[in-house]
Amino acid sequence: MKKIVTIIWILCLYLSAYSQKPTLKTVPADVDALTENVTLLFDVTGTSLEGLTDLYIWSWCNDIKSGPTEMKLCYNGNSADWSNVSENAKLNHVEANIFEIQLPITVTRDEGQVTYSTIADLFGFTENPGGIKAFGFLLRDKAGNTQASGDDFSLTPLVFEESLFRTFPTSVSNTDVITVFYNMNLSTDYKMLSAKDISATIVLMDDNSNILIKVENIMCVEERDNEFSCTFLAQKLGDLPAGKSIEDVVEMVVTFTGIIETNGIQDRIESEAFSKSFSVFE
Amino acid sequence: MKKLIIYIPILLFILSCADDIPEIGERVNRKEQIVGTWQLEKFIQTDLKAKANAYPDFATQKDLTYIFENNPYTDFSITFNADGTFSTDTGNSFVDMIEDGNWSFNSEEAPSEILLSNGSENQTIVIGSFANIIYDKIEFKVVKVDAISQKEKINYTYYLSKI
Repeated sequence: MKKIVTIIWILCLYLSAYSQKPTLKTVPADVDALTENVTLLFDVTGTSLEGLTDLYIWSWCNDIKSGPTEMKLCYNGNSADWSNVSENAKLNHVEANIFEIQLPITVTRDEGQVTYSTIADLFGFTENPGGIKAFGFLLRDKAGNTQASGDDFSLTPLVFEESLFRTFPTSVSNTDVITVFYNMNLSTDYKMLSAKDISATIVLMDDNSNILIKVENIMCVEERDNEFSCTFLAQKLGDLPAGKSIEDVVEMVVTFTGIIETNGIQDRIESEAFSKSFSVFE
Repeated sequence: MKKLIIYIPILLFILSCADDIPEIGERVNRKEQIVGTWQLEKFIQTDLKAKANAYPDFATQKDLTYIFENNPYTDFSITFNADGTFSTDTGNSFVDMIEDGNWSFNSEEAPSEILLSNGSENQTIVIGSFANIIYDKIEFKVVKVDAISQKEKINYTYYLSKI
């Protein structure tokens, strides 16, 4: 019995060690389908791919008109083949568990040399760049035996679209006046739809996801019908820990809280978290 | 002949006014115009990418003048003195500017920037527009440029009035 417990325990440890997803961050932080000079940075720390040096990307997006479309780096001919991923899909190994794709990238395909300058180019959306809103990805070894998928990556829309969360301006640095919006009309939580007294909690973090400042209960204003916002300057939100400066603040996470009342009993309800990396401006 | 009779008095009138009309090309003295105290009236943030993509107004521009209830940007004023010194009064506003020191234009003939300095501290104010300076109005602006793409992302415009 002891052995079984030990084996299960070891198995749990093994599974939890590799249960994380690869993450994708871009430089600059905000990219749309037509942004040039983009670097896609992948971190495979804590995934089953940790320790590998030859990794390939397998990526796809959903076009409203034509359905799923694979990234053109993944194949050389007319269609993608999971069992025969192109060498063009091999990621640059930056260091340790960090890999990258830098745009523009020039590769050789069946039709000859091709340069992809934007995300739209990578998926063949050159005539309809607005058609790509987000893309999914997984990272794999050449054979595809070891793989780990990440969360879908959303692009900044080319045209204004209503969304559950947004910032104004769309790209912000850690020294800008930032307004975060929460559009309750788009919430799928029916309780949130009837919530009152909407407030926000803002968390500012460094590049290791350490919390540098956390401020709760910032009252929001309703700027448009059921769209609430809070405006702040990162350096005025509070005191940073000793040895940290505003330059160390690289990401914010915002959640909105409302009050609902049922049969005279008040309850707090919280939105999902909205996170955004700060751009670097001059 | 009749026409000549009409034109001659008009011509004589124009010539009589000639002394009042400044020479073409004579430059106005921008330094004289800028000397004085300027109070911030309005502070606008513009998302340049949203503007380029023709987003609706509410997603393109935001009036920040009174966005922070206890820290209105209208608290800010700056005084340019004729002797080349300046001082600022930020009040409770979050305007980040050198308190005092020396000021100069980047160009005496066609200034587009005001350079502020105090010891090793330097700051540049970009002049958004001189168009209404004769009405004691001026615009300063700060443009944020993405460090990687070098594309302009955000514009902050400060509208000031001479007091």
